[in-house]
Amino acid sequence: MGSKTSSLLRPDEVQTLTEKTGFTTREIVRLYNRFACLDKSRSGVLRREDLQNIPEFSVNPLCNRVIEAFFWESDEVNFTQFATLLSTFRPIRSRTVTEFNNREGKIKFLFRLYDVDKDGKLSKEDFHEVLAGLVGTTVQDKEMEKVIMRAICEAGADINDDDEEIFVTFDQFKKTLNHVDVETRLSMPF
Amino acid sequence: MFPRIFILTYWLSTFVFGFLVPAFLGGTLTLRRWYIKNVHRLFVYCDDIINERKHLLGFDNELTEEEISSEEEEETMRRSSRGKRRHLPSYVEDARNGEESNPHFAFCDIAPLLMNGISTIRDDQVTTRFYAQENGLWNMLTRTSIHPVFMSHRLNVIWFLSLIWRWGWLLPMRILVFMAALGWLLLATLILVLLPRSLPWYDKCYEWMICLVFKLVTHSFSAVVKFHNPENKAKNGGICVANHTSPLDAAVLSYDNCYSMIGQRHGGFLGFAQKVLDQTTEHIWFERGESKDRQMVVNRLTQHCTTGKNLPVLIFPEGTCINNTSVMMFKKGCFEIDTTIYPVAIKYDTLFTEAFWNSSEQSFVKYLFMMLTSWALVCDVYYLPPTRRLPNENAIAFANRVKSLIARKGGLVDLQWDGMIKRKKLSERIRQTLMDLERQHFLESSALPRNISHGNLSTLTSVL
Repeated sequence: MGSKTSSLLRPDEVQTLTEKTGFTTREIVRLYNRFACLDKSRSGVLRREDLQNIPEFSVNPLCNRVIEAFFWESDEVNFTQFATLLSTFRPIRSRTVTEFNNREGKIKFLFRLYDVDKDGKLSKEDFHEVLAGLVGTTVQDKEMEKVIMRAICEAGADINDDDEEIFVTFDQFKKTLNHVDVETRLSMPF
Repeated sequence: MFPRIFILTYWLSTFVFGFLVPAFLGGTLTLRRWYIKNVHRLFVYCDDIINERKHLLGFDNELTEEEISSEEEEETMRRSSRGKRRHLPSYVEDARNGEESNPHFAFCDIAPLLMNGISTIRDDQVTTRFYAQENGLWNMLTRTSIHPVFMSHRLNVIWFLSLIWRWGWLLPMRILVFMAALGWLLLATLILVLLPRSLPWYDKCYEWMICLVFKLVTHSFSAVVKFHNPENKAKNGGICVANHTSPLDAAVLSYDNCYSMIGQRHGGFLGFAQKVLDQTTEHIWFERGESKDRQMVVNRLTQHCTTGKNLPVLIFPEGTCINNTSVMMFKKGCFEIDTTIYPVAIKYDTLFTEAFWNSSEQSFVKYLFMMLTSWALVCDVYYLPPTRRLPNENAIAFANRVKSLIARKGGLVDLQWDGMIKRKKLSERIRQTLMDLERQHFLESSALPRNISHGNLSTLTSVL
C-alpha cells in the first residue's frame, strides 16, 4: 500500500498496542496499512467520510449505526482508537482477552449500535430508527411497533402507561443475550 | 580536452551500438531476459538477508508459538462460520415449516450485518484495487520498502550499488532511447504526412514506422513482453479490448500490432503525444464525463469500424487504471457496436516495476520517471479468440462475458464495481439500490414481518 505507511509506526508504539488490544505485531502492521489506505487526506485520523468511501461498506444497511459507534466520543479516530475498536471483534482466547474483546465489550458495542441518542438506554425511538434503517420502507409502521414492543417486553423493561418512559437498560440488554453465543457471532478472524 | 572527448565518444558509441541499433533491429530480447533472471536472483538473495536480520532483531515474519496456535483457531472459526452463514433463528424455521407466522426480533439478529460491515472496514475488495499491490520480495526500491529500518550493511551496499546502476546507468540510457523514440515519432509523422496515401505500400510503411516508435518506447523501459497466441491478433474493422493498468498498455500492445486509439484527452506531455499521433491516423479523443461526447464517440466508433479498412480500435472499457489484480466493470459503449471484439489480457509482473499509474496521486511525468528508474517492465500479453455479440445477448451481458474471459485468462479477480469510484463516491441512486438488496437479504433471514411484493432487484448491472 505504498511506502508511506509504516513510517509512523515505531516498535514501542507497536508494543503498546499489542498489549492494549491483543493483536499480534503482524496484525497491527496490516491494520496500519489499512488505516493509511483509508486515510486519503493523510491527516493521521479517520473521519466519517473516510469510512463512507468504502463502497462495500456504504451499501450495508447498518453503515450509519456502525459509523456512529466508531465515532462515539469524537468526530475523528486515530490509529490507536481504530485498532482498539476493531479489537472488539477479535475472537476470545484465554491468553489474549482484553477489556474490549471480552463478552462484555462485545455486548457493549452492540448496545451502542442501538443507542441512537447516546443516553445509555434504549428507547422505543432508538429501536424505531435502527429498524427503519434495516428494513427501509418495506414494513408498515404498525407491524414494526408490535415487534418492537414485544422485544422490549421480553427484555424485561418496565411498561408504564406513559410511552415515553419505556426503555431497556444495558443490564437488561445483556440478560437477553445470555443464551446467545456472543463469542462466535460477534467475532471474526483478523 | 582529450579525456573528455574520449568519454563522450565512449558514451555515445555504447549508446548507439549497445542500445539504439539493437533496439531498431529488435535483437536485445535475450539479453534482457538474462538480465531479468539475474535481477530476480538478487532479490531472493536480499530477501534471505532481510529475513535473517528480522529474526535477529525480533521483527519476525516467523510466527511465534502463540501466533501459530491462534492462526489455527482462526482457521477453525473461519471454517465453522462458513457453514453457519445461513444460520436462521429457530422461530424463522418454525415459520418456514408452516406454523403460524410469528413476527419477532431479537437484538442479536443484526449480528451478521454488523460483522459484514466490520469485515469491509478491515478489508474490502474495491479500495485496494486503486493502490499498488505488495510484493513478496523487496525489489530494492525505497518506494516499496515496508520496513525502512536499518537491516544490514550488506543490504545497504547492494542497495547503493543498485541505485547507482539504475540512476547512473539505466536512467540516462533510457532517457536517450526515449528521446530517440520521440524524435523518430516526429520524423516518421513528417514522412508519413508528406507521402501520398494512395501509394500501395503506404500501409506497410505506416505499420513499420509506427510500430518502431512503440518498440523504441518500450525498449526505453527495458520491457520484456511475451505475446501469447498471436494468431488472435486484432484485424482491421474490429475492436480490441483490454484491461487497463497504465498508459503504457497502449505502447506495449502497439509493439506488436497497429491500432487506432480512443481515450481521454490529457493535457501536458501526453496530450502532445496524442496530437502528434493524430496527424497520421484517425484516433478518437474525448473529454471524460461529457455525455454528449459519449454519443458522438459511439457514432464515430461505429463509422470507423463499419468501413472495414480502418485499423482496429484499441479500447480500455474500464475507463480508468486499475492495479492489475482485478478487472472492474466494463462500460457498455463499445459493446453495442456490431463488429468483432478481440479481447486481450495484460498481466504485469510487479516485482520489477510497479506499472500501475495512480492518476490522482502522480502526474504523468512523475510516473514516467518512476518507470524509467525501475528495473524492467515485465508483462504477458494474452490474445484471446475473437468474439461477437450473441443474438440473445444485450450489450451489458456481452461486456460482462468478455470481462470474465479476460479476468480468467489473466488470473485477475472479476469485480462488478465501477472503476470510476476511484475518483468519486458511489452515486446515491446506486447506493440505495444496492442497500435495498442487502435489506432484502436481511429480511429473508429474519422473522420480521414482510408485506412487500418481492420486487425485481435482479441484476445489478442493469441498474449500474
